[in-house]
Amino acid sequence: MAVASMPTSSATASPRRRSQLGMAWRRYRRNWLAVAGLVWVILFLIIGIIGPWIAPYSYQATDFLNANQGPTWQHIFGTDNLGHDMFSEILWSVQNALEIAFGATLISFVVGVILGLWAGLKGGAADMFVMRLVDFMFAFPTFFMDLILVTKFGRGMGPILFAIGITGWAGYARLIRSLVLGMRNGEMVEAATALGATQWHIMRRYLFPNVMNSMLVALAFGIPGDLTVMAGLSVVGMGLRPPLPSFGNMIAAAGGNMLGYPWLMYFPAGIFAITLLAFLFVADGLQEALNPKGGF
Amino acid sequence: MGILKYLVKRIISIIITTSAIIAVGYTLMNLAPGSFFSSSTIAAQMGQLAVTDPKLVQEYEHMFEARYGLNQPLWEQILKYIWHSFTFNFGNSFENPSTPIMTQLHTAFPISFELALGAVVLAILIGIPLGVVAALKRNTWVDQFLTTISLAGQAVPAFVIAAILVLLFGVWWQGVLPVNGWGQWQDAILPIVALGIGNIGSITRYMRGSLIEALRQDHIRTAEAKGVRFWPIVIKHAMRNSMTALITVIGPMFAFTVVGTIWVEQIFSIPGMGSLMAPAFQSDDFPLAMSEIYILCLLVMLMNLVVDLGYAFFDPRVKLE
Repeated sequence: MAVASMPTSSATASPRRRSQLGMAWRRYRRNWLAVAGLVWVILFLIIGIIGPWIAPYSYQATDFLNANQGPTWQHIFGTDNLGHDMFSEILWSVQNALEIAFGATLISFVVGVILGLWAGLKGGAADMFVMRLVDFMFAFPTFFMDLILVTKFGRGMGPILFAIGITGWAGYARLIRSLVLGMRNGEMVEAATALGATQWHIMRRYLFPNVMNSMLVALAFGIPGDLTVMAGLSVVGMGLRPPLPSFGNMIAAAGGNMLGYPWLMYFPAGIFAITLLAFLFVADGLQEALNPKGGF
Repeated sequence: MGILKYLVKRIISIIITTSAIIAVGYTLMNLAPGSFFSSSTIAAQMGQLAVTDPKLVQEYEHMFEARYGLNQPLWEQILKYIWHSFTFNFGNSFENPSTPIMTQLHTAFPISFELALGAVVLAILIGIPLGVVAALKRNTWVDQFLTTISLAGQAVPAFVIAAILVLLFGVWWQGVLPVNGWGQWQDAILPIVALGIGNIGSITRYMRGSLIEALRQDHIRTAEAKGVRFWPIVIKHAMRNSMTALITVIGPMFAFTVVGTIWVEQIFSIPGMGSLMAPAFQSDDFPLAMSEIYILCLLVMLMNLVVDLGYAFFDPRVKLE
């Protein structure tokens, strides 16, 4: 994934760029946890795409005669109190989780990049304004804002995606602003300005590529965070509206009768935890591979 | 800058932030589709009445709105709400019209506060030694193991850890520790552990990083050259420096833990803020939901203030601004 998402804007990429990428990949490969995480993430992506087709049952199909069954050959992960096949539910929720993970993170990221670049480049009043907003977002747990937004806009896929996305941008904005401030007065930007480049051009061609690595790492760390928030909404009972399956819903539902039907908890909680770990190890590996100096 | 001026500035910013949260939250909740009447137990009873006597239902709703001041213009409601919030006069909730919200919070808040505080204290007690070990044994398998484990602890959310703990102590080691309810002191152990594991992870990682940084400083080399022994160097010269920086992590960590308590209380069925908040949101009980958010945000911000003051106190190089 590290390779696929790096900017390869010019077809005639200089050999230097390629070797840098190769070096990053070599550093990444040394970290076996990161590689294992990457394998799981790729598996997760594939299941997210083809999951609904390979699921043996629909997520709405109920089998009342076999409700609350332990794992059997018919239902390999068991069934819940309505007779939903847990294996199929999990396959479907992978898709939902991916939509939230990438959709919401993308929203936060785009908002954060725009505001961060704006604040860093313009300075003055714009900087003041953005940083006050960032301070505001950091002053309290944004999870509460998510709760309010979800109450307001409903518990569908879109509203939850929007709520998580719109409250999560502050970290990205602050990171990008600090990176841009570090570069704004550098010689590169000075030279570009002297040659008559517009602000937009400088932003796009000079600053953005240079902060790409750090942002990729921040993005990778953001995905497990957003997945956690999404499941956390379910735990409080404000997650995706029930017929739609999600890891949070399954964990919250299993919590009610965990002692009676523990398998309802084993599989969703286990797979969810492994997924979060996988995303985190990938992020950690990326950080080591892309910023060998450490930290961002 | 004088400390008084700093305090005033911070308190004003807290007031502005909480007011903004209330205003945004109140506006959104007020405009939300569906009201208390359409989404709660009251709806069922009103439904029957609506068939037999629709006029009475309307009258009832008017009375309800008048009682809670919902018939006034929105800005007036918001200003009033903010004003009363600062005096902690939250009125009564929709769901329990006869009990003031303050009474409900009075029993729930200390429970959540205990859990959150306990989790942070536990993390400090366990995280610092682990971080020191990892830093002293850096780049060995011990360090690798500890860093990986703490990364994993940070990644897995508190509710999943709580669920795992319930499975462990409810199914396999039954009777060792209580897995639900609240009352004896043993009840607090598992929730605090569930909340603390993530914090232990972050403190371990932070402590490791800052101690490695501190051990590279010149004054450490000087101390070594003078023949100071190993442990006095680590404890007196290096750790003291890295500990002050550790204070800054505690603020965000506390905020994170407060959210965690809401999740963990659901799993362990503890009558804290979380078990008040979840039903409040589900049944559109805005007054209760808003007051809870207000109290928790205020708690987080006050804690951040305390942490910043503590940082300036322990590290004289830090200037409050």
